[in-house]
Amino acid sequence: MRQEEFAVPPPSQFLISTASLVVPRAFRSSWRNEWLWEVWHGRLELVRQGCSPAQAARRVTRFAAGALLDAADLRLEHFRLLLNGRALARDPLVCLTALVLAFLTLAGWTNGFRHSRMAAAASYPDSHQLVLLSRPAGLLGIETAASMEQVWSWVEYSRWFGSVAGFRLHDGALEVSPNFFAVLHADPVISGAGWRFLGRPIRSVRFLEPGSGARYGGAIARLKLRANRNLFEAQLGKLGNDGVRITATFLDERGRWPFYFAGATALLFLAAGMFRTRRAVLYLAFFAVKTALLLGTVGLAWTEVATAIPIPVTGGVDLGAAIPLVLLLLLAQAFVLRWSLQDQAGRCPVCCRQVAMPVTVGSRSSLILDRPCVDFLCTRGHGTLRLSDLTTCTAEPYRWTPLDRSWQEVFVRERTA
Amino acid sequence: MKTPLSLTSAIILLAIANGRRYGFEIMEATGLPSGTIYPALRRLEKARLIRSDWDSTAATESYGPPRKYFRVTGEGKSALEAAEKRFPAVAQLKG
Repeated sequence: MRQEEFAVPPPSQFLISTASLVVPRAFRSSWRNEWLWEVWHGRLELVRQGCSPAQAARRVTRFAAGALLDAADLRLEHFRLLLNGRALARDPLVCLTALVLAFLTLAGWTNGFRHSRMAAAASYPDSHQLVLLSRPAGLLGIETAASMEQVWSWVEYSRWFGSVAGFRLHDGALEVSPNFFAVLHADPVISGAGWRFLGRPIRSVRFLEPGSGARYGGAIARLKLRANRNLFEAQLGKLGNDGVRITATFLDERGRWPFYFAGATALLFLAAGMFRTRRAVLYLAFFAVKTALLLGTVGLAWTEVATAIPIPVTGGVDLGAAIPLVLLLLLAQAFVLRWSLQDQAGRCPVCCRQVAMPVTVGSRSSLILDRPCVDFLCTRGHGTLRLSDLTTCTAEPYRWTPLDRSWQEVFVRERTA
Repeated sequence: MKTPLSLTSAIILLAIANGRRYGFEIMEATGLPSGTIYPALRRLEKARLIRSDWDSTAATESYGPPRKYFRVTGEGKSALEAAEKRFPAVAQLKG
């Protein structure tokens, strides 16, 4: 038999090589060899059965055409494996994407750390000209409304204000100056069922008599039609010449910094991911980004809760309500930080994926020589993680044992199964 | 409860049980295209109905590369019996 009769025909080689490009890289080489060698043997078999070499080549080429379908099937199977829920949850990128999405959803819902959001602000005519004037207390971002006396002193200095209305809000009861709804350009609401103002549900609305010496907790201003928003904001700094800083929040405004924050954290991690040789950088970057996003999410959720703090008529913060809420924030942040640390301890320091496949080892009756532990495995075969089941002063809380490259073969097979 | 075999899988399983051990042989025996056979073989192996290994004897005899062969497991035999009851055509092919 001539030597060329043993060779794999070029069309079959071309088909198999082309199809192999579709096959996941981890087992591309073995898949390609399996097909090429089967073609090689198939051709030999046909020749032995009496087929001419040309006929045999044609038949094995028809056989090799199936490699394209097989490769596509293998690729789809690989996608299905990747989309496996549990495996996805272990992936650091999926974890961060979920955190970024949760953060941005909450940022969108709460208008990004701006508690002075008005439900359906856009429903007021020319809502872009409505401004809440407030005096920030600086206590963890809780804003306090400005008193009417202060507001009038600012109005005197500014040429942008059209009209200003005062209000005071306490436990769902809204008391307003007579021009309040005129400033909003809205129909008066007396029964507050289903109505929200500055993010708070309103139970009842009452008008305060003018000249009754009423003191207001805050002010809503409508800027003149020709008012320039940027110039107005620039002028605000000059208005606080009585020593009180003023914050003007446009009711249709959305805080942008949570979006910058989420984008920056995601970019930080992606940038760290590019330097894959620096494993420690990636590991620390993942921890930093994850923790920042978690703390930010808790902060956003807390801001929404903090809208429940009633603003007293005189301005300032009701400490009776604020202190438990601040403690709640600190507790929530501490809990999140602890969870983030625990989660990080259960991740592979090489690829940041969560370790899996726990195996209990040791004995509870032998705390010194055979301490009870749980061994976990990195599903990419980078190493094993031993977590101590009992905390003692001599026990290492966790120990990472790297596996060398010879183990990779086992894990590649595991992924293809 | 395991998913019952499809007719294609049952035919492939029957071909292996009848001694067709290699991919090319299975294609010749069943008349199914190789693009159907190989994905089915992978699924059968994943379901532990068949096992595959590299045949070094074939390589030695032909002075060529090794060749992958398939054989039916105990579970595969039970699944084939169930498939014969389900698909009379498979039972006829066996007979």
